[in-house]
Amino acid sequence: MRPLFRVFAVILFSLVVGGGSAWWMAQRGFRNGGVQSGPWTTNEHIGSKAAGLYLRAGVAVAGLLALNKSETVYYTAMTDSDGTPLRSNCAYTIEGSDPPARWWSITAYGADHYLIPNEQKRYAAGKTNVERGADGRFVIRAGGSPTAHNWVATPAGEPVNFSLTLRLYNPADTVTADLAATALPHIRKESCR
Amino acid sequence: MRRVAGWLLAALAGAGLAHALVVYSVPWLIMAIAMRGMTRQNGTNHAAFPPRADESSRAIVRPSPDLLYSACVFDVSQGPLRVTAQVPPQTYWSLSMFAANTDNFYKQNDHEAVDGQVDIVLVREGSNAPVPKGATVVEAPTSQGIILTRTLINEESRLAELDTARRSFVCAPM
Repeated sequence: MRPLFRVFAVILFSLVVGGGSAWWMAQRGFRNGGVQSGPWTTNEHIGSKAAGLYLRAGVAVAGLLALNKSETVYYTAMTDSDGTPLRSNCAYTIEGSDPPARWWSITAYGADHYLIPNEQKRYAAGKTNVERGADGRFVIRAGGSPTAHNWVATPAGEPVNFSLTLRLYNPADTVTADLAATALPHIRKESCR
Repeated sequence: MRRVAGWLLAALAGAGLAHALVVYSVPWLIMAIAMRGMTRQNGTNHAAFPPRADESSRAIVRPSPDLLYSACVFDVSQGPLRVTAQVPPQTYWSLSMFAANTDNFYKQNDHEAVDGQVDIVLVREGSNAPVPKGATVVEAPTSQGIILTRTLINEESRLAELDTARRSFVCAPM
């Protein structure tokens, strides 16, 4: 091979493999070095000066302007509690009791990390609007047919992946002390079309 | 054979370098793009009050539809900035500051604000500024960044009231 071609090949390889692997790591978002509680993932260094390079890149791609854990803890679920990716052609129930925080909400996002278009503008359910049973527990439905309460929309049309973010504003000390130990809602797949 | 090994080594070293460069640059680049978009609409050192987030909101990823955001792209390279706000009553509220590499270097919420008021003088790290009585000095690790306030819409019936309340947020050169 001619030297010039080899230089070109080296540069191309560097950009594709080096740059591509870096972007793939950034797309992993909070999962870079994160902690897991059921299907929910977070990272104790989100928004913090102690964040590593991969986490900082991940936050920029999938959670820009996120607060650090003393103010807000962000848990993200890309799968149900069985570990299967969340898909828009399936309906899910999110079942649990109020997480220990001043305020909380669960929001559904498309694969592009933006709110999901829906006629009802039902993007999230949370502490102030969720209906609970006599035992204080709630069941929120994600996808499927809309219900009057406790329902969030997932993408319409061709099946795609989506994700859920559980925000805990002013979390209890027990949450920030051990992010993996907090009891969080269970995500169960109900049906698929 | 040795020459081929040399080229392979160069390719691997190049890939490692490109990987490190991209991982390091991504936060700075994405913040710069976000700041440029916000500056184009509202300028620098000026508070903006975007509408409640919905499916058409594309400025920042993963917005919360339960919050009303106010934003200010700051630039303290030419001098300090005065940041003031009145905390809306009976709901969650916070003011946070983000450096150009995405780090959340300062925050204050409604429980921490003294008498429901926030009064901050934002300066570049290592700079001095005259500090008005009662104001808090905050040092920014980078000259540019974003200040954000979050106001929780804890009841839909309070939307108009909270929208008015968040507009007490001021961000202006001293």
